[in-house]
Amino acid sequence: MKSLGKYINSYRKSGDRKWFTLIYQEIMPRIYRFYYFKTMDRELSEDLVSEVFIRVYRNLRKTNLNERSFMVWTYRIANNLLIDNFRKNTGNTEPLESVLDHIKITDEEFFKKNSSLFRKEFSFKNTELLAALSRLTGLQKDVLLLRFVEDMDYNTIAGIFNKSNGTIRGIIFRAMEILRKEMGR
Amino acid sequence: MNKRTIKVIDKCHILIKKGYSIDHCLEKFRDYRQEIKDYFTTAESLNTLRAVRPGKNFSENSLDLIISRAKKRGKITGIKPVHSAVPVRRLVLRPAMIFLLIFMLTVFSFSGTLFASQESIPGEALYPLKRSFENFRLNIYPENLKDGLHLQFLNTRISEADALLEEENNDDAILLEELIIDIDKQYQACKQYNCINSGNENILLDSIDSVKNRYQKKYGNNTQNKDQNKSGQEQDLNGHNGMEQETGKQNSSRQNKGGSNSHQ
Repeated sequence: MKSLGKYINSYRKSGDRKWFTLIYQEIMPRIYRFYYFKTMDRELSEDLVSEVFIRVYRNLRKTNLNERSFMVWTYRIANNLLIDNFRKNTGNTEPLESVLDHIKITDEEFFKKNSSLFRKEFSFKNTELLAALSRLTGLQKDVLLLRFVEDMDYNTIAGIFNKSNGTIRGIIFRAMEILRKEMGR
Repeated sequence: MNKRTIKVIDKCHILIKKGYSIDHCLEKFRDYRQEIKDYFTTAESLNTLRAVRPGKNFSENSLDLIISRAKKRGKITGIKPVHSAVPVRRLVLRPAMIFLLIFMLTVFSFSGTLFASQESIPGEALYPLKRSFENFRLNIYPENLKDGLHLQFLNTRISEADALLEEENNDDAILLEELIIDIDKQYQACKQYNCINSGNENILLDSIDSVKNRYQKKYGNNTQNKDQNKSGQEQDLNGHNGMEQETGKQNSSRQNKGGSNSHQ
């Protein structure tokens, strides 16, 4: 991750494709996971990832971003695209905040039905974990995944969701408690 | 989870980042052993989700497609780029540039006006600015250079009077009268600073005489009428008579000098 800032800077200065490739290789799996745990759909996640990077490619050189603000910017694009997609498919016109919190394409039943599919991708324990995650709100799930899967700090997560550092900490600890209880059942 | 537990877990996070193990943390905060253990076990299981990655085909071939699609698209609107956390350009450079621009505009417009005022004659809007600038120059010039400046101002006054006399405007009489007083004052100042010598004295006096004579010819009748009307008010007339007397003195001194030169 330390080199991401260097890649961004070099790409902004030179426009050389090799730097964009390095940025892509570093960030693309993270954005993919962000979509995948929301949609549990490989194809849709890949489509959305492509759309995010089309926008990043077209705008990155016009920005003045450092490593952290780049992450915030990219995840905001990802979030907005997901909301657009969600609204388009469901006809939902709720405000952005509540849409973010209610995007729950999957539920516990979904995991039970598709457990064999997920077993191929994760261990059995992970399938349990995914089912427990689906009990959280959309925001709680996003924040937890960014913190513990993507290893992001509180400030970056706070930037992505436009919330204070303290709010994000509160969400994380509450969500962890729910998750622990769900997994212990 | 209470506040104290949250603080302990935060401390554990810091210790782990520094390279200590979870066991070290469990040992250090024995009272919270169970909470810490539960928390980090859950965190560890969440961390296993990192194994989720896109398909090999997508990872290898998607970038070419993304770039080609990005190049084909028209202008995208609605995405505002998020700028750096420390927007140096916005906070420092932009106000500095604006200040510099305003400063330069002010300086250029003032110097432009000042430059334009140098060609003005009495009665014009920019003339007071020209005179103020002359006074300013007089104040800042060192004493040994003031002689040249006084001489320059005297010549300027004479040319201004010439310009006014050439104009066919009867309202200029008062202006000319004031200007002739100024010319006399300037002549005296020049004398004080020794900027008048045998080489330029005759030329200057000729020019001053010529201005006064032309003024008399052009406005002589008008001023006499004015004098009659303002019998009690002597200020302008006295000034003018004084000037004539002064000119007379100057002429006689010139004649004397001419005589002495011829004797030599």
